[in-house]
Amino acid sequence: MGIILRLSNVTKRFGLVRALDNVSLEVREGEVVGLLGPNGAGKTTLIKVSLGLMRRDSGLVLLNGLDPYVDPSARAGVSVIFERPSLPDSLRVKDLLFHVARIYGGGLDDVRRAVKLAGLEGHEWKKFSELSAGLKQRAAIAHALLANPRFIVADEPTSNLDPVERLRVLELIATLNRDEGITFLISSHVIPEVTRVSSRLVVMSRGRVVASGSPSELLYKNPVARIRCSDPEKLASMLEASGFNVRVEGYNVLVEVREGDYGALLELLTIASRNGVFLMNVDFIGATLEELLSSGDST
Amino acid sequence: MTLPSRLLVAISIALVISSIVADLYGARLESSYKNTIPVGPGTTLFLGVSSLTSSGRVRVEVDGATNMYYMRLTGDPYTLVQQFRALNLNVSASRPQFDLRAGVVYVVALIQASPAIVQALSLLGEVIPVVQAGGSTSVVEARLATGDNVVVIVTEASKPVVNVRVSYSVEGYSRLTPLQTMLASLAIVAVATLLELARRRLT
Amino acid sequence: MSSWTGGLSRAYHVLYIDVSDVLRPPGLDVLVVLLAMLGAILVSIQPVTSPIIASRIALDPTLIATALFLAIRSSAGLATLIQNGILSVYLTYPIHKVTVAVILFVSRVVIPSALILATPLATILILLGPTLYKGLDVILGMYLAFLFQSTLYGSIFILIAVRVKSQATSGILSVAAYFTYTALNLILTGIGGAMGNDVVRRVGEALYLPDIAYYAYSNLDHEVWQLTLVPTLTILVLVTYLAYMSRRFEVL
Repeated sequence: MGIILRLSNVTKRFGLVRALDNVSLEVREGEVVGLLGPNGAGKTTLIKVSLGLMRRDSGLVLLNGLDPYVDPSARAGVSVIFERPSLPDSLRVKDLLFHVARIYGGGLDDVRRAVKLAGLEGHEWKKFSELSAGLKQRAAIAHALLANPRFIVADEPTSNLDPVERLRVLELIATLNRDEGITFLISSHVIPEVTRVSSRLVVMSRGRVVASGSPSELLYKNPVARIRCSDPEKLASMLEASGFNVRVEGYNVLVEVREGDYGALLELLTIASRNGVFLMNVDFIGATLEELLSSGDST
Repeated sequence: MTLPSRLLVAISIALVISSIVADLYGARLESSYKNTIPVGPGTTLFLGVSSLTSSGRVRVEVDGATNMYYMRLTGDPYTLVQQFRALNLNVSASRPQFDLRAGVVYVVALIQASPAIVQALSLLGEVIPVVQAGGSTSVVEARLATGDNVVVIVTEASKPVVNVRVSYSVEGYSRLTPLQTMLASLAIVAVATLLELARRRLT
Repeated sequence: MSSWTGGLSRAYHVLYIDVSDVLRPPGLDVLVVLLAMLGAILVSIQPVTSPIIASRIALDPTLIATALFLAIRSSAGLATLIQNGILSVYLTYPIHKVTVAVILFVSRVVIPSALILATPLATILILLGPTLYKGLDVILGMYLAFLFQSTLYGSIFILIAVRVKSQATSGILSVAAYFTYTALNLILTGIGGAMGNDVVRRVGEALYLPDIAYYAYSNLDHEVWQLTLVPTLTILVLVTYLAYMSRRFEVL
């Protein structure tokens, strides 16, 4: 897999604040990379520097093998969806998309395809301001698709959407990655959303990359099993007796599970079930963003 | 609507409204000025006719002048009196009368000066003596381009007062009649409509 | 398609999108109707026979309105474009940043100025056609003088906008810059005249190109260099703007 975006030791300062501090990152073709971090971690700055929209103070940025700050052709085949979807409002969406398609050498067929892929059909004759938040995001995605992109950078693409629209946008991103082979770099501060679509996560804090890896490596290395049952006290005492670290929250028993503990845990649950503890649900909870950041800080 | 269509419609609206205003309060092609001015010994009368925005033909008739001259000056008519002051002439009275609808201004100035003032004025331009055309009336006729001034100078009079009559007729001005303007507006709106229809067929 | 024509085509489509924003209805429409009407009324309530005078009467008030339009719609509008992220979208297109800067200058300064100033002239040319057609060349010359003056104002305004990046601040600063410039023109002319300092007076006069064009066409006292001051200032401001956009400008 070829590398689409490479950042090596990139630093960007705003006055005395280091928005990016010696950041290195690679995005390979076909990946969906989730950029995680709290507000102010430097995600948006990283995206803007990666696209050449902002200067960097030091380090190397190569987009499609070219420096995007110097050479705009580095952005060929690259599209962006910004946090607040914002497109010119004076034209109807379809007219706007037509002119954008022409910028990329396309035409009306490309507009129809983008509108269909983004699920914007039936709304393309409206002006951008007349669209709902979800449709605005879809319009921004349709706009991004006009570049026939190999790579889409999405800065918090779900941040202004309601839960239903969030899900739809994430499904759209997953579909575009799966069916069209488009590579994504998606920033967010909501772990479940990013893990839904990402093949790799990069965690940022205070301008630095503090952790990176696959979602299972990062989030489910030491997960917590949440067991909902009819007699949590009885189950907790059985697990504690076997050496598990346990706490009870209402009808839930939370158990820290380390690698190699899964077999023992399943055996104990089977025994408990035979001894009259009715098991209603078992799920594994990944690490929270705070836990990821603290684990990153400690490394 | 496309931008060209919007601008064409804007022009047609402006044309219709301005044509109505012009018809009610628009330019006049004739203007006149009459005055009786006391001219004592040692006082020289200046009468300036300045075309502000128009061009046309002026005729100045003065009754009772025994020594009269005229000269032509170009430039800003408002500075006429200032030009006299620049020659250290004592301007005792000056009163401009504007006729904006004819695009002309009449300026009367009385200056404390001897008849030798004519020599000083020759610094500003050629001073031409006016011969009385029978009786006691002196006449000056001139064609004025926009920004031109004709100045009549009376250094001596046979009576304590002189009668001044000025008539000015505008030349070279015409504008569309309200009917023509209306037709032009309709034609412009038709062009705008055609442009709009053509655009819709193309897209 | 060669890369040059391809680049031109891309630039055209970005220009189209941005012009649609700057000249969106109804602001422009109301303005041009009022200005065309004002110009036409002013030249028809007096028998204007001189093309020079007619163009001045129609364009002097239009220029003030154009400057204020540029301050609000172009300068503050450009800052809004920066604030709401649309400029970032433009910059993600495969077009060089300097090209985007030139497009913004054309769409937010040159085109609005050219259209707003042309509308009253077109109206008076129709209304007073028989009187004015003989002086079309003079009218065109006066139009260009006003257009250069407006372009200078607009260049200053968009430089302010990309520097401060705030809608309200750039709007206020642009209006302030316009009045400061106008005051400078009057003060220098007045002081130069009062003190008998010919250089100061002429510099003051030359800050308003339509005056100098009027003097030139009317064979009134002027010097050739006075005709070049406003174009020179425009080029200087424009070069500063382009240099700032290509070297220092960053999106928010």
